[in-house]
Amino acid sequence: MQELALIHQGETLERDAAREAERSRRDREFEARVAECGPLAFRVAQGVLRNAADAEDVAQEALLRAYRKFDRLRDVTRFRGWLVRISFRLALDRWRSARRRERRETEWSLPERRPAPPTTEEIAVSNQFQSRLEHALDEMPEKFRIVLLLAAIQGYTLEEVAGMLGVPTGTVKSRLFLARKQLAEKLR
Amino acid sequence: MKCEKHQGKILETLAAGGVFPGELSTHCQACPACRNFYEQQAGLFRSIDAGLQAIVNHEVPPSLLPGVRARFDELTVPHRAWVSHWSFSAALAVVVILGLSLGYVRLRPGSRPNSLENVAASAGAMGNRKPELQPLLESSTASIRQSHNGTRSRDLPPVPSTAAPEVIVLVEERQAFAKFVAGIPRERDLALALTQPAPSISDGSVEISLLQIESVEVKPLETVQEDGGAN
Repeated sequence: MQELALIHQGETLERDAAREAERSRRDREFEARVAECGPLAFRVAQGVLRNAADAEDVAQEALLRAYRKFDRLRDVTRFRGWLVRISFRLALDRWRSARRRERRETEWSLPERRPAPPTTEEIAVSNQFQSRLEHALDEMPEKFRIVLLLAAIQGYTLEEVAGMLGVPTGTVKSRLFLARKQLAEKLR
Repeated sequence: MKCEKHQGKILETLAAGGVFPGELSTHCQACPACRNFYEQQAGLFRSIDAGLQAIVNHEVPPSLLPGVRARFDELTVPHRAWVSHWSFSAALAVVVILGLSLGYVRLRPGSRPNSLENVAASAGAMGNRKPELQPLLESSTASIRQSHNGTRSRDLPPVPSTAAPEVIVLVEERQAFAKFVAGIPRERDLALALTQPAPSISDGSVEISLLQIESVEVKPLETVQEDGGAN
């Protein structure tokens, strides 16, 4: 009986050790993915939010969500696209809620509390084209916006962008063409 | 018309980021208006590309990855606490359910130690019970139990099964009954009689008639003597 108990205890210990090894392997793999794809998640969020602190927060949140569901990801090579989509979606949510809040505050704030309108000098100093571009980008459909942002990130080809979005390369090219055309029309 | 067509092609080529076809290049070199248009539009697309790259290729803050690791730690520690809290609650719930089940089983009428089945079993153990009498014993205890329950259900108010014992049997009664059941194998006729239904006694009508006295003899009282007094 004691031998049986010892054998059983040994099996349990082996199982625990195997589980712990599997978990540490998984954590190491995830750490490597985070180091590789974390900056990409940040840049996607930055493209939507255009605020480094918010983008960092969104990227961290996206990585946390990816970590929680990392076991469900069958093909680890698709992690990058998965993370990009999570980050883009989270950034869009935050951008929309910020816009709603901004609109509400503008509507309800008293005239004396409203920020003073920019002076002529400030307008002249500010980069008008950049702000117009950002405004035009905000008004783009989501599928065009993500393609524009990913294609603008340095180091990624259109094939890689297509892989991230899970669409054919021809679709990416077509969307990029239409998006750039729309942007040019708005900024002309 | 020709220039409009070329300018449309210039726009599409710039938007697609492709290479100009030879015919279009030749026309732009020859036509100042189209060349001017091309330069304007090419500048616009360059500005768009530069603006987009400025937006997305922002320097990654060095706190990004350490922040992620810190949030992982925050995530895992409360998760474990949450798991232990729920496992403790689940264990507590299991203990409570087991306790309630055991209490119910102990208070259930069929599981009482002084029930008739147990008495019959102890009686069987006490006496040398013959195999052929086993069904008789079972049926007799069952009929006794049935009649007892029937009486109880008719005469007594319903008692909650968990509140009070169903049958209160004194120790002397139990011993006497056990002795009686143990003696059944020796008295075969009695055992068989116990299994038979009781004969139905049909009571006839009873007539109550007046008391009839055929003859009454009336005697005079004895003479009271003067010294004894009257009774």
